[in-house]
Amino acid sequence: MNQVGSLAPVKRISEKVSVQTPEQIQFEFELAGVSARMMAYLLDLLIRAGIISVVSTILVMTTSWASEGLSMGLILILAFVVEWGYNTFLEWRFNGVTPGKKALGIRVVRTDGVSIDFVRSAMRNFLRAADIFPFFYAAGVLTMFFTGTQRRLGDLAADTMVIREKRSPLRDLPPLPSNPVEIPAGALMQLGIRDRDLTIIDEFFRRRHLFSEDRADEIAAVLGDPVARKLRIEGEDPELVLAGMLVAGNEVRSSWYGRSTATSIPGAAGGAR
Amino acid sequence: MIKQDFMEQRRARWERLEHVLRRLETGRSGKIDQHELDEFVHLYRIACSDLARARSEELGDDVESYLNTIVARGHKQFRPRTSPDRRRFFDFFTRDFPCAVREQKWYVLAATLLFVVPIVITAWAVVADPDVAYSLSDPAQLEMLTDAYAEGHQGGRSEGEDSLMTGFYVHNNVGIAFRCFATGVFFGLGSIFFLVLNGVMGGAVGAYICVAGYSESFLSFVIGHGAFELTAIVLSGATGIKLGMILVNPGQYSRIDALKLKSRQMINVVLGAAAMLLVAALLEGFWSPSGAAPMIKFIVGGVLWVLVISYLMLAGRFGENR
Repeated sequence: MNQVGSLAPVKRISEKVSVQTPEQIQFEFELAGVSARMMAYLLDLLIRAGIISVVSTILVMTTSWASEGLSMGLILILAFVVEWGYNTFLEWRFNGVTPGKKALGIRVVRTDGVSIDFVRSAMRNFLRAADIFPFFYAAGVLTMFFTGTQRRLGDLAADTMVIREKRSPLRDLPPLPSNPVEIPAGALMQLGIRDRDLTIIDEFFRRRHLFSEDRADEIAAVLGDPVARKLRIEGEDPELVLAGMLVAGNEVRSSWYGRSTATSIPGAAGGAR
Repeated sequence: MIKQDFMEQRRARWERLEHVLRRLETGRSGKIDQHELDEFVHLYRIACSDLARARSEELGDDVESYLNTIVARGHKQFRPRTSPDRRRFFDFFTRDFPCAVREQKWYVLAATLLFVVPIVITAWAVVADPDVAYSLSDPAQLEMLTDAYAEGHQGGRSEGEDSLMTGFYVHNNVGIAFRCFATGVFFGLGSIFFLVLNGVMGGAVGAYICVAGYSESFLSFVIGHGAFELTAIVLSGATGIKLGMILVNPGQYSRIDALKLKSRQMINVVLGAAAMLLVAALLEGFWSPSGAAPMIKFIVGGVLWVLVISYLMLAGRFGENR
């Protein structure tokens, strides 16, 4: 994982970048790779070509009565504006997204995770002229490999990065088997079971529906047998052992952290001033 | 169950936050009232602390990555305020742009030398031996240009041709200026290369035409838009060199921070140069090839040079200190 922003960067190609908020909370961005950005670029190129051909057709129809030269001149100006202005304007106005980027689910943000402003948008897009050097973004792609945070020259100068916009919907917790093996909480604690172990069991039940019956038993056996041996409850259905560990473990957790009802954070609407 | 409790208890707030986020992300923020913004900030903070808690208690990847997503989305909503100040466009030209140019006056001086010295040297070489021009530029193109200036502009040009050429100048010259700036990221070398190259080519072609005996036609054509065009190329080259120098010697800052500090200034100069090139394109398209007498073109051109240089040196200097 790489640190960016005020912290020293770690040299390693990575798909994740962690950012710290002013609240001292770290969270992660997933970086967009070369291929996704290339696809977005090609899509935008198509859209740009579309804009130019449509608008220049209109220009020719409306201005060619005056002179051929006038419509040609206007088309050249249009081509200039679209070439240099398309990305700059859209990334500035729409928080780092162009239609091509939208389609690929990627977005430009500052390396501290905040939306980009005009100066950064202009910087990273004007520097395309350097990234494109000597042909087809060779300089840009090379720097993307060397920076480790997948940033081309324009991104480096503007201090921006391109991230993948992730949507991970929150699903309900999976149901546990209704008749878990009873395991005394105290016995479990003596075995030194940690939060992490319980989380793994939790993850197992969350993914339970992906496994066949046999495979689930195999995995459950790997996870649960060592504990079952120590507690001398071999022979039980390993899945039920795991469920029992989870129940007991959560009891332990409650005693450590208290029921979460005990923490008092004022209600959302009531707390807003 | 702790995880279940946690999720049951917080879920409504998280979903409310997602709802507000969707409105902030898609809608124009004008429709969102102060109360909702306050609520957003409040819910965002809760989500932050929930994320920290989910992590430290290892409540599982699903909750963690879900909270990670909404915190990241919320974080993106914080951004520097961009004031919709209508005066900004005006201020840019009366203050921001010329001040940014003066801020980097040594780079402008260096770029001017890198541009003018090659002009002088090649011009001198071509005057001494016109064949030098053939080795620097395509002979056929030289002949074509010479013929064009031999004809002169007394007849003027059709308006259609003028517009076509204006379009061409915008497309071509502003592109050159942007490239001249952008390639400065290669430690200034790209900008230096483009400045010297443009100087050499310009000097060779100009001197060749003058030696051929069409100096009045050529110089009266160039002087008008040159005030804007040559200055703008030098300015964007200077900014490119500055970009490179910041990378070579960032001083007491890290390279990224040093760039961040200067990027607004640099962009201001580049945008200003682009605006100057638009003016230059209009002049080069409509005024320079017009049928006006060379004497008038020299006078107007001279005035334009004085105006441009004194604008860059003086504008915004006497305003209130802001």
